[in-house]
Amino acid sequence: MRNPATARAVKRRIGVVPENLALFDNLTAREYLTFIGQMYGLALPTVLDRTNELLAMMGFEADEKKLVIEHSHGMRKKLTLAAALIHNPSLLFLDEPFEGVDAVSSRVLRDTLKQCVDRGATILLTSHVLEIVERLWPHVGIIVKGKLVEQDSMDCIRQNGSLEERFLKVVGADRVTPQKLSWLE
Amino acid sequence: MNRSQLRTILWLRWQLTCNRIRRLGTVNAIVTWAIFAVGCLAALGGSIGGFLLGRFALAKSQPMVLLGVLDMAVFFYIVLWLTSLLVELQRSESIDLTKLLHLSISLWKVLVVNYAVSLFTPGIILTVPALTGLTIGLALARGFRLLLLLPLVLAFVFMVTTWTYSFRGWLSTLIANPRRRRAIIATLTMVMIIAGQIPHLLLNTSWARTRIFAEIKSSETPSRSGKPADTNLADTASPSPSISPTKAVRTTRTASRQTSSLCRIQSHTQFQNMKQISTAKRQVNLTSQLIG
Repeated sequence: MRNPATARAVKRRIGVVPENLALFDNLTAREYLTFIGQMYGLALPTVLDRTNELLAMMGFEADEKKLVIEHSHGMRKKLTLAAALIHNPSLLFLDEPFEGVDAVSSRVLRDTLKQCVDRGATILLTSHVLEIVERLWPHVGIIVKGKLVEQDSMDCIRQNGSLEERFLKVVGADRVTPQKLSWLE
Repeated sequence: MNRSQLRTILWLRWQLTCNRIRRLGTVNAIVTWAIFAVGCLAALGGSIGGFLLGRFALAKSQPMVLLGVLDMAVFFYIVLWLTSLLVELQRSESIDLTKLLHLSISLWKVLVVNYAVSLFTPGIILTVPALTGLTIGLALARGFRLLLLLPLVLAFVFMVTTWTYSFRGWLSTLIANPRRRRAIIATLTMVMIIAGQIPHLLLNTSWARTRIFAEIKSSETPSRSGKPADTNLADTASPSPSISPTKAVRTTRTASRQTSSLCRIQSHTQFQNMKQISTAKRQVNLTSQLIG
């Protein structure tokens, strides 16, 4: 990976949804996807075809002329995911892809990711929404204060309870008695 | 980065600019495009004007005049540069490299392309063609050695712009925090306005004026009592009855003023302009002969 050429070759097989989304505010969704596709070295006709499909799937067709800055947070998340998928990567890094996303969009995202997994791609996803993780992923790692403290398959975790219980146990939050508000007692 | 990626980066930059103008609304977009067109015409006019200035108007001028013209161009460029720095900083539409980190491109090439594209600012569009025209005109009029001015001009422009590029990047990271943003932009504007006022503050404030007058006064004192001027003036002080006394006094005073001012220049600059002094002395002698 120290060799820049190797690093670039590896990056060509990776799709990323970064925390800050890395979008350009003054571009439309179509322009952004075209830009990303071209930067990954795809041929222009391929880029245009895939862009059309992605825009239709993510529901951007009605707001073709809207700039990124004018879209909601959920739409931006979807656009970033679309950009991460345009070059058909075999490894996806997704940082909180479901955060701030409405139920309909969340469903679309989940289906798309499932399709990627079925096709053989590997997805590394971080999320605080444990239900989604439990429902979608076969392997789970728990990170506490920046350190990976637990890693197991979902089947093994389910044998001893839910993912939430396991998470609270690993973090040590199960021993803490939650403070109650006096005026709600 | 291959050619296609380079083209895409340039396209991105162009698209960002177009969309930003589109977002301003129809009237603002028309005004912006009109300003852009006027800027392009001004650049063309500047290059032709610079060429004509160098080829004809400055063909036989003194080096100090040439230096003055170049200083004015540099001053004009710096003013435009400071203005565009503030405007660009607030727009912050330069391509942020952190948005490209996950793409399969060489980042230092993007940096170079980004820098090259950032050169299309009003300051450069208006100044560099004019200076290039001026250099070519001067080279045609005064010899091709003056073509060396062109690399000097470009070196100056690159020196300022690379520093600005780095400075702007640093400021962009600082103003990423919206709370700090306004304070930084306001402070920068104030610093630039005050920096622009420094020559005025140095030369035109009351304390500066007092100091300058005191210096002039102190430099005038020895020349008034200086021997060369006063000796001759002493000789010519008494008017002759053969000419009008008023005329004689006036002529004497003029000659003495010339000598005195020359002496002042001499004491100020340490230049020995003996020819002029001797001319003035000759005038004094002539006057005294007339009086005599």
